[in-house]
Amino acid sequence: MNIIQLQHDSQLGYPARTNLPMLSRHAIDAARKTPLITFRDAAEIKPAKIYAKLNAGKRISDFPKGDLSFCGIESDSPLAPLILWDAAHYLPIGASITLLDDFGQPCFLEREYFHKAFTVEKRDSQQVILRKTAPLLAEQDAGLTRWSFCIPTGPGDATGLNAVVKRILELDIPEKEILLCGRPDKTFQYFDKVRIVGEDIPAPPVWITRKKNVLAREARFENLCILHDRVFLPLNFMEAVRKFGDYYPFAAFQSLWFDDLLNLIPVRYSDYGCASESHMANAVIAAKGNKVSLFAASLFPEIEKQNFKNGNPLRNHPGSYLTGSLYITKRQVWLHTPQDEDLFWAEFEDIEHAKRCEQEGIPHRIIPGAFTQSLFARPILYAAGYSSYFTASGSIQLTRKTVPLPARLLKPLIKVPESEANKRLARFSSKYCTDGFARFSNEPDSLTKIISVIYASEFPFRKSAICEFIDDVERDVLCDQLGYGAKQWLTEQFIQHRSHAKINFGRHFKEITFQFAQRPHGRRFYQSILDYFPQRGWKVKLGTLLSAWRLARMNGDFLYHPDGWRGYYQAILASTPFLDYTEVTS
Amino acid sequence: MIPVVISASAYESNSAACLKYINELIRVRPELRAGLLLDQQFLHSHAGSSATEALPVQMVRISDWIDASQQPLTVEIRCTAVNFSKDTAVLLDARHFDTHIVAGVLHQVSHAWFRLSAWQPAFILVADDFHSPQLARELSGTFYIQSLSTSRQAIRSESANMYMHIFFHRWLGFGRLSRAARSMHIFSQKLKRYVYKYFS
Repeated sequence: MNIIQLQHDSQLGYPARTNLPMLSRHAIDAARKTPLITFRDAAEIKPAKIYAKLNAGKRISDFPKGDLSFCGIESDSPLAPLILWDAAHYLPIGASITLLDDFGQPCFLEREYFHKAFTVEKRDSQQVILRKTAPLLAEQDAGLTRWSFCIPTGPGDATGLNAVVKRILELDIPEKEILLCGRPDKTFQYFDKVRIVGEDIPAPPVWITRKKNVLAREARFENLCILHDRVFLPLNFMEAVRKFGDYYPFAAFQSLWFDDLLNLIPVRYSDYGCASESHMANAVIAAKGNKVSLFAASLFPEIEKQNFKNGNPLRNHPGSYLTGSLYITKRQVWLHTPQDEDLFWAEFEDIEHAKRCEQEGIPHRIIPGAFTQSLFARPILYAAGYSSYFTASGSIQLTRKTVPLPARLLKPLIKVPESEANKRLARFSSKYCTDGFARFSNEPDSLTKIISVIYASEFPFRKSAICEFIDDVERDVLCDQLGYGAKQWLTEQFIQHRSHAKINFGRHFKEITFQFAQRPHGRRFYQSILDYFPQRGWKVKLGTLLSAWRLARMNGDFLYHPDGWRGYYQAILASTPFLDYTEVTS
Repeated sequence: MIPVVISASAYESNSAACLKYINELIRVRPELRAGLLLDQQFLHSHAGSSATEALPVQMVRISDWIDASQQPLTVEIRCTAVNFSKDTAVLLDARHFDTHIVAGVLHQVSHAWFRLSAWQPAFILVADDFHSPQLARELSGTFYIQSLSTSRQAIRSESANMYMHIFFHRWLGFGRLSRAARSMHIFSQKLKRYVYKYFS
């Protein structure tokens, strides 16, 4: 009797074997012929093998060769898509998978991704038998030695991009190429080490979806690492990927952002999110000609209400998605499910992509064992230093990153030079205030200056003018992105309260409050882009040690590293973008 | 669009002069957003206006925009707004009507003009002398979000209040605790003002 029992990691709160039904008689009969993989217990029969503490960070790659049977796998575990993905990819061609006692129709392996590789051989009320007739797309791109690093970028200071490329060049990979989509600024120092594609893609708005698709099409190697030009990869990139294994779906590392230069204030930043399903259902499919996009532009404020949270790397949430900063995937898989080019940057293109992947049977998941760090961060993504996340048990918790450090030890909040921010405010005031900026220029306090300018502004009570005013506030006053909901709220305020809306604007404009709550004593903007890069030294090591200790105390809840605090310490240091990465090396 | 109120007496005594002056204003200061008031006294002081011709206007009576119970006819106002030519100024004759009725109509007017992509060069309201100053203020807010005239001290106090909120957000988060602290702070401010008002 060849029964392989899977057991959930108890901290996930997923059904324990004692809470699941016993194996049915026909399942036990099936186990006499083929290895049976299940979370359920068989009365009096001992399993031949047990995979204990299973979570989304672990993969099963040593399935028995040949036919496999699964019993109740989709009914019993939210990890089923991950387990079935691995089983389907490690299954030899000609072998079959039998799914017993799963009543969800169609089953996971009948989704679009598996169509060409699996044929349904038999289906009745108790079982579905699928036979593998061809290799799956991820199998066609087998191997971990050849990598294409794809970076959508554009003009603007290339200091960050230099650091990102320098790190990629350092990685120990037998064959690699670096592709940039868009021509970087002249300050970019590695023109001879990269291939530039997609220079004809128009901007603005940033057509990030087309850029990523073009990069995937142009890539020569089978392993794709599509990363934003602010994502600093870990030095142990290959080690973590090798440990994770081949045939991965869409994957990414957990991402950190340190708010300070001592690695003392870790924030989880844009890696793996989760959107609640109930609201997702509101985002109806909008057909555009013969193409179908999941999200229509008019739905953005509704989609935003989903109250996105950081997903837990150990859980497989419904509605979870990689946030688009980093995708590690196989080239064929990306080409099979590219991003929707009807959407632009910050139009929830990542969520739409994940939703479509989920429907097609391609999971999004986290590779444990390494972290990336973000070189820059947008304050909109962590309101007032607080962000909510799913713990390992599935409950929602709030984390805060506020540590009273002097401003000189903090990184700048917004990636805009201070001189440029002042210019923008002056431009705003000369456009909207009858007496221009002169009246406010001697005001020493930034917040008072902002309030004065907003109070003194005048504009027509016309829809287009109000929208333009709000866009100008976003670009010139806030210097950061405003949410769709916030824009809608501000428009409504102006329609309802006219001039007096500006009082509410000052008092209840969360985005401004949040910015100043994070940087009450300055450093909202940078003096030099190098302000973002910490210097090597014992101080950073000490800060990293303290952060590693704090993070290890809630390992699995906030972030996950299989090697505990030592793993955290090494992973953080291996992904810290030190100042020397901005210097050129020949 | 320049919002202008002409008092009934000025309009009745010399409407051509009023319209000439507005025409001149459109030529020289088309960006003017404040509600202007032209009254008899103003006409006397600007007797020698240099404008050569009076402003052509498309006139509408307020009685066409209200029903028997003196409530604004929203649909009527919106239809007229769409059909008005964008090159000629609009003149709304609101003589012999109370401020609150005119204000109600102006509120609907602002919503009717809200979605229009182009506006006329001027919107002229003719109102009774007694009501015209108040209606001038009303009209200025009909088409424009006006600046809030607040003293520097008031703005500093507003800024201090915001810093207090920021302090609560920073240290207490944005949950119930922070909201409670904010409410207590607002209450203490009110109490302070009350004590200052009645006991100083």
